[in-house]
Amino acid sequence: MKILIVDDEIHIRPLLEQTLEELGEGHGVRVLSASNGEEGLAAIEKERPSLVFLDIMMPGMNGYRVCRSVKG
Amino acid sequence: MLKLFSALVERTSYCFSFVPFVAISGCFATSYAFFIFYLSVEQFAPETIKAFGLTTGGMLVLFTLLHAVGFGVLERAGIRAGLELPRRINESYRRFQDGTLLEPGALELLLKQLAEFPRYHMTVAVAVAIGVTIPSLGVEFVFSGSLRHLASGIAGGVIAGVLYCYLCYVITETLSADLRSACRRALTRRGATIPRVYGMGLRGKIGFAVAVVFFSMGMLIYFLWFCRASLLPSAGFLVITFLTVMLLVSLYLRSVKAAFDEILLAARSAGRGGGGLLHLGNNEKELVEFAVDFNGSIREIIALRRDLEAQVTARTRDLATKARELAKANERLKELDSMKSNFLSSVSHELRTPLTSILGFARLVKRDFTRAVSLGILLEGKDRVKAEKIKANLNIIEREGERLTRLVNNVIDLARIESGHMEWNDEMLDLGLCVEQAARLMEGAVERRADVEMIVKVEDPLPPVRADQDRIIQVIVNLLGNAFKFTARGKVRVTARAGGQREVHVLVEDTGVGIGPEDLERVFDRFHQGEPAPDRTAGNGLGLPICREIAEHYGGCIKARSSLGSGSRFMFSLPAAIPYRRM
Repeated sequence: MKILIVDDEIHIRPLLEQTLEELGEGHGVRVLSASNGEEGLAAIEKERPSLVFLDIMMPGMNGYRVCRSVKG
Repeated sequence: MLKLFSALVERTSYCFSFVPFVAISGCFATSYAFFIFYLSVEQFAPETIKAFGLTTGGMLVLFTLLHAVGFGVLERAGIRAGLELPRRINESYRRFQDGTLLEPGALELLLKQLAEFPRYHMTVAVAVAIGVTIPSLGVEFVFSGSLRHLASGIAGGVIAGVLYCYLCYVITETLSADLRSACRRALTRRGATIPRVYGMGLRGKIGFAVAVVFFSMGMLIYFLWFCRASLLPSAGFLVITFLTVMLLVSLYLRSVKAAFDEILLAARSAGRGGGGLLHLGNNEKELVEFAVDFNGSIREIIALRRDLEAQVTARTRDLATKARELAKANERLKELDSMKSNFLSSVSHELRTPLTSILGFARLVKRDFTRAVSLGILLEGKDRVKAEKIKANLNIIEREGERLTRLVNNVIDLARIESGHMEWNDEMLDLGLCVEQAARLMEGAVERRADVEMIVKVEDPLPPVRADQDRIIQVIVNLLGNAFKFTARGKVRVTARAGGQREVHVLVEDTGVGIGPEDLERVFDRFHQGEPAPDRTAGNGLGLPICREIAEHYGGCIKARSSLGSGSRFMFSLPAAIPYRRM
């Protein structure tokens, strides 16, 4: 199972990554991360994650727009 | 205005049309002829009858002609003057509105024409006097052929003429005084008509009576002394003459009144709108007075208007400036508002993000550390103490981080509510369900506190309220949290019940330490904190203020009742969305 974290905050990403990795230990969880909306969108298309943690307030493409692009 | 005037011209023309003239003159001539007939009755002969017929016919023609000429001139002059005044006033008013000031002498002509009114009146008087005298002279001469009769005729004619002129003067004077007062009232906008044209004022009546007495005496002396006539025909003649004169005068006055009514109308319109000034170009006493009054009023009006216009201009300017300032201020306020909104969301983001990192990493480190230490159980002595100390320090970081998060959340909540940026997701709520949900959220606290029992009591059914569920639960959780914090052992009781037909109450009661009277007063003040809780956990002094803001937002209230040592009772009430009747 792939989980993608999209967040521009440099410290929040590793925090989430570590927490998720720890929680998913032994369940075959792979945590990926992207540092902005565009990267996140690209990663979603490329990796097709099962779950995405999407930050809303991001410079450039914000979370709402990413979400709309994915859904559209 | 001109329409009115053409109507007036028609009316006056009718008054002075030929038929009434012939009738009036006929009356006059016939009365005079009768008098002559009576006078000469002792010399009655066929020649006398022929002379009587000739005299009557001749006098009829003569009177009619004289009256027609006199009144015709009067009428034309009167109408001209009557037409001219309102036209002039209107013109000056237009000029005044255009802003071109009235040049001096502009109304000179108008005033001259106005001055002609009494002059024409006097002309008529003289014409009538001559009209009375000349036929009588002719008749006297024809009948007697004596110079004595001719001389007495001239004397009688002069007396009659002078007295008739005096009569006319009295009437004109009365009319003029009435007109002046009417104009004055018209110009002060109290509205006016000429009240005493057909009837006269006291002064006019006295003058008229004097004139009549003198006229009668003069005529009687003339008849009785010079003509040696008997009393009865002389008196009869006088009465008929007076009636005729009165008829003539009243007809004349009717036309003058109509013309002056129009002047008055014009004056009134000038009074309303400003209008022009009359110029003093003659010596007529009444007209000078009239013009002075008129000019005074008009000047006052012009000054008032100018003053008013200046004031209006100044006010308009002020208002425009104010409007601009207001628009600017409004713009600025809008900017500030959006800045505030942006500030709030960025502050909340900027504060919460690092806090989340700190807290999250502290928890991660603590867990990792705990795990690592428990893996190496064999730690002993100094190392073990050190490990315990590190764990305690990490706990402090975690606890303080949580506290800071709560504080930041509260401050942001409060700021949002105050600035109107809070989003209220209102829906119909059952407060009983909210209480139950809040109680479930408190389960952790209940488990940790074996000595405190929580009792939840929900009255059923409850009227619904309209509010944001999260906020209501926030209030109840806050109250419950406080209750647990300050209650070492005993009970925390939460009750939802209907408060009358229009309110729903949530009561949170505890058996804790209670609040002293001084603290009770300030319990809803921001950052106010009373005695520390028994468990030593400090709050941030913002929980209750937020509860109160939320309650007040929904038109409800929150009240505290407590005394030291006997527990506290908080009542949170909200208005029911639908008035409720207990089944």
